[in-house]
Amino acid sequence: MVQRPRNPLSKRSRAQQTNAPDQGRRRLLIAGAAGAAGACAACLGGAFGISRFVGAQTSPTPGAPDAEAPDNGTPLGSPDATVAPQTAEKGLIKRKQSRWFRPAGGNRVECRLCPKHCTLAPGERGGCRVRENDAGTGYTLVYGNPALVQLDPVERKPFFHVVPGERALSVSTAGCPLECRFCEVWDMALVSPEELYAYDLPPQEVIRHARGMEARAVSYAFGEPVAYYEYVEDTAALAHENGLLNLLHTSGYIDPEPLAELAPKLDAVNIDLKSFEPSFYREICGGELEPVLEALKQLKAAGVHIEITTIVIPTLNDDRAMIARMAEWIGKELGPSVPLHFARFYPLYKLANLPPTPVATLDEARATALEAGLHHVYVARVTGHEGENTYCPGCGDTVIKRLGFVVEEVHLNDGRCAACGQEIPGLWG
Amino acid sequence: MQRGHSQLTAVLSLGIVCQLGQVVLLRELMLVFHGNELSLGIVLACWMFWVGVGARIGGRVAERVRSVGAAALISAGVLVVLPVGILLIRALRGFFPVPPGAYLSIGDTVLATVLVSAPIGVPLGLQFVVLAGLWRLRDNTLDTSSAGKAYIAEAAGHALGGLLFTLVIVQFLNSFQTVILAGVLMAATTLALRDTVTTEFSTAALSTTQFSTAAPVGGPSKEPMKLPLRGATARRVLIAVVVIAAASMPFLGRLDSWAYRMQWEAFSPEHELITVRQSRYGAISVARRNDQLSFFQSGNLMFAAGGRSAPDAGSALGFEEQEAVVAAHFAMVQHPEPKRVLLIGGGARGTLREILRHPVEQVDYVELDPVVTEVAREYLGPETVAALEHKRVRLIHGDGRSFVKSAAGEYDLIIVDVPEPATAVLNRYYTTEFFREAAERLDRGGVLAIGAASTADLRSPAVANRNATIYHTLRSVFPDAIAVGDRHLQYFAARSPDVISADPAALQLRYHERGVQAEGFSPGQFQLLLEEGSLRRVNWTLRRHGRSDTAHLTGPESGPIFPQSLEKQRAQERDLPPVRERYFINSDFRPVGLVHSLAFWNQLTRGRPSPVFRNMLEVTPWWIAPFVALAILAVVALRVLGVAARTRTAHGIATRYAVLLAVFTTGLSTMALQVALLFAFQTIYGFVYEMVGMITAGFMAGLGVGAGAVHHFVSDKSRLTVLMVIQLVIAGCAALIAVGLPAAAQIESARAVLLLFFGLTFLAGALNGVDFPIATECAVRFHHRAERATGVVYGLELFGACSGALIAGIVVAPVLGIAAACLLAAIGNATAFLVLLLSGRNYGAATSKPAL
Repeated sequence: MVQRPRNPLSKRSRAQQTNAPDQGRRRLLIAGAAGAAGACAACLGGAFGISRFVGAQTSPTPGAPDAEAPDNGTPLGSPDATVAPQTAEKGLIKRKQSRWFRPAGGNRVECRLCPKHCTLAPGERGGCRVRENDAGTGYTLVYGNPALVQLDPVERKPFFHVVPGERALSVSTAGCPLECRFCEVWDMALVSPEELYAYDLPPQEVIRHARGMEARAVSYAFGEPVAYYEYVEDTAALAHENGLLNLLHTSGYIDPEPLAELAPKLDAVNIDLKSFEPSFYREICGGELEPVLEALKQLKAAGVHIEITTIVIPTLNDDRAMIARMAEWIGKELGPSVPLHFARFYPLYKLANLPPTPVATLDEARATALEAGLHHVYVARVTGHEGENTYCPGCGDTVIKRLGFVVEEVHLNDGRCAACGQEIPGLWG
Repeated sequence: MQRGHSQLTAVLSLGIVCQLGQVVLLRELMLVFHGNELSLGIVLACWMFWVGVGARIGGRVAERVRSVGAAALISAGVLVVLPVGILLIRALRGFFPVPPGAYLSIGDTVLATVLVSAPIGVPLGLQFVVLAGLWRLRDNTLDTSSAGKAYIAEAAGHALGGLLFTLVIVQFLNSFQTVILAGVLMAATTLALRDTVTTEFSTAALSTTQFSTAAPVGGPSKEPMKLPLRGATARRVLIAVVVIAAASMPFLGRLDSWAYRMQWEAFSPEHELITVRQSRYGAISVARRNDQLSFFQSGNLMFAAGGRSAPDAGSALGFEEQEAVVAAHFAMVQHPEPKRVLLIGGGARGTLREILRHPVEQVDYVELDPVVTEVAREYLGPETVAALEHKRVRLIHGDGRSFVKSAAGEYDLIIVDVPEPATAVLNRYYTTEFFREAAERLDRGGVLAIGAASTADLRSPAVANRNATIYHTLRSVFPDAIAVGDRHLQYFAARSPDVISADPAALQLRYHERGVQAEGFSPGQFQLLLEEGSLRRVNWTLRRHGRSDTAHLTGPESGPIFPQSLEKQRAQERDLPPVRERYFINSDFRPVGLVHSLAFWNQLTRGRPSPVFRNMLEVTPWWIAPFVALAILAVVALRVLGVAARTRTAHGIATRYAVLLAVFTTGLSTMALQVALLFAFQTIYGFVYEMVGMITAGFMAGLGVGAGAVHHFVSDKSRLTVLMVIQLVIAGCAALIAVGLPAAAQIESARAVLLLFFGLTFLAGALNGVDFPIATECAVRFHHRAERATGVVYGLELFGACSGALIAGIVVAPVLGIAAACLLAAIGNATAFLVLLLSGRNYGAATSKPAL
């Protein structure tokens, strides 16, 4: 083999070969230094880890109640100062056993509230995130813990043919069976209740607040009321007992039986008919179209006042032919006097990069629906557009003039056009 | 050297191709990343990684390669792979199941980047080592001086390529033309390499008797590798590819348009693509649907406007552009009598036109991107275009930040109408430095208006964090600020209290008194916008959020069901705990707002919050301590082992590790520096997309100069002391840059900034360049094979650079700040210095000269 010369640079290596006894001492020193360094590193790491662990344990401080001033917590616009301030708690969950479950073998249950019919193993939650199987019993987790409590004009829902100018107290919780890509309340409806701050508001408290604020109605809107069905049911019953109207804004994704039980308690319902194409419902919303159409027919049969909202999304559901078919269906199955709102899409959530609906598209949709025979077709979310007003189908006069959700003029006599007496459908009283 | 010229030009052109490839890749991928500068760190890291892989493979291959055929084959491969790579990038979106209008998630984009840069980076890394080997054979040396020369030549090629691109190529050629031209150039120089090297080598080998210690050449385990094709065939293949490439040149313009269209089709098939233009920031694309025109910048929707074909009824235009119209009038009525107004961005979407309806005296309109104005003039309606030409409007094309810094006089109202702060360049308009500069331009009763996307109740941590950060950053400069809106938040801030008004009646009165005639807008809208419940809730949430150590993790509290009025909220604010600056104050040099925006983007695309961003925010500087401790422990342990071991070779094991660590940390630190400088450049100058070629060219030029200087001035490059000193020098320079860089933000002249950054990246490159040849020489003492050593060092340095780009670009710079990224560099090299010191600087029984 090849002889390799010693490295002339390494004097130390030569020294090491001749000083054997020193080697031992040196080794000891080095080992000691290594040990010390190791100990330091371990301490550093340990202290670090501990501090992080401790940091993570700090619980969030809940919203401190404001303890002073007279208008603290006073409901807006109300002289009644006795309604106490209410603060929200993170992850508040209020369970209630629900009758909308059917046993499914073993300890599993099948939920029968919405068409998804989730089968839940013990401990499992449904696709809506707010219904759970606890040891063979089905529960709802959102009975009385709304994340959203607010007072708004009725027009905001939008209800254009229901007690114009009055206000409704809305409550809404987490949870939704669908998962639309254009969801506007994704940070409430599409999260689990543990992630939200919610108020503790049992049904009677809702009524108390509503009365304290002189609201005309209780509304179950902004979220998805189907997800908090039981809460809606009980609150709606109380509302009627107290002379309040019940307004629902929903996707309509509900089974016929629960809807049949709820319908008598409802006064007006706004259904989001997102599209007339089943493929849209499947791909963009994660659901089916048919159950929504069935729900609409069912509500019509039950005599509930219906309004329909469609968000027109460019390239996804703005096809004129489809809109024509939808309008025809509505006219045939629900009647031509059902108000239809075409709402403008603005980029958000999973469609944040899609441009807003061109206004011309909304104009065309409105024209198409009017041509198909519908009487009251609106354009929503284009403030100041003429499509925000209600026109008399008989004489064409402006019966109600609006700007956004503010009612500016009303020309109705007892639910009839002030000019020609034509009956305008709605709940006016 | 006569004979060396062909080697030189081959490596030089490799450098040019590398640089052009890297810059084109960076620009194309930046578009896929929607213009976000996160892509800089990721693309650079991927590039480094794959080139490093190529170099490692090359290290093994080059030893056995004796024919120029290998270089020719690789050149042919590069010439094919580059344009195909660009096509792949344009088609990227089509591979993911993403609907039109949705963003790709960050994870998908990263994955795509890693995959796409592989076929481009690997052959280029391979080629370098092969050419370096061939050069060494030509030079007949057994050390790595040829590798050093090759390194310098490649660096010079990089520098040349970067300069060429920024100054010349980007004006005239599209991406495809650029890479084909570069590839043809490299092919030509490779073809010029002579195969005579092989015969000369064999005679040279026999005469190397001076090296009695040399191991036999081509020993039993080192057969020359059989290439798949013989040298001559390889050259013919290359010539064929070159001919095809050259023949395709006239069609590349069409290919480029087709590829853009294809990219667009996957993005939004039913919006008609009207035009794509390159701009300083990225690509501007305009799409049409119905009579609406949408403007996209690097694939990000900027705004939608009414087109020329819109009916003349002004209200139609006002409705179409309602968001901009409302924002403009809302801002204008916040000041009782706005005479001088500054508008940054937004002219094309109608804001300027609406401002002019008020009785203003002068509007200074700064448009960041002249291409937008150009396209606006071509396609938008007459009213909007007329506003651009209006006599009371002074249209300035340039960077808004520079303008505000250097502007004279005072404004009554500054309206910032820029897109979402999802990129570093836009985040600069939401920082405390910018607000301070703007406040100085406002007179005492002046108002600043700025907006951002939001949700109705700001429930999710991602939205709340970002928007509360904007709020608190505003409040760090302005004593009074409010936020209004639901899916879009409009912020108003004023230098004095009692200026901003949330009273719809008062605003309506101001509007009427001015006699404004706007279409598609009615003053009744103020009532809608300032609806009391929503206004109180939003401001309550923003004010309260961010005042605890875990606020950014747990999300915003919900207020009482009926929060107090704004006046009460203002009064009670002083009793609240202080805002956590680390997470909720956005600054140029610690752009935490950018991190929040990215988390927001990520949550929108994935639908649920990602732990990645949460963890990113947790990074503190102390996290580096375990790594440093580990490195030091390792060297001490190895030293002990080496001392205790029996064989002589093992004595040097600690030193070997120390040298390799030094190589790794230098790669890491110089790349961290480069990324930090790119970020800082973006922040201060604003146009990284345009100038990235120039800046990286500066780095490479420095690299070449540094390596060249070492060759000339350092005689024994294998001295470990020299290596040690270099580590210390790098650490010192990085620390100095960390301290001095924020001061650079004060510079007003854009040209001075460009020169400064060119100089600083040159310095970073020079430091790296000085390190490489010395480290290589030291490494050769262990490996005994020059190509192996080169491969190992090159590869390791590139891995270090990859890590540096990732760590600095993604975590350190946005979260801890740019200065921290520089300090990371300093700490890295300081550790290497320490480790070298502790290693005993003992080569063990390594030979004094390397064998073949």
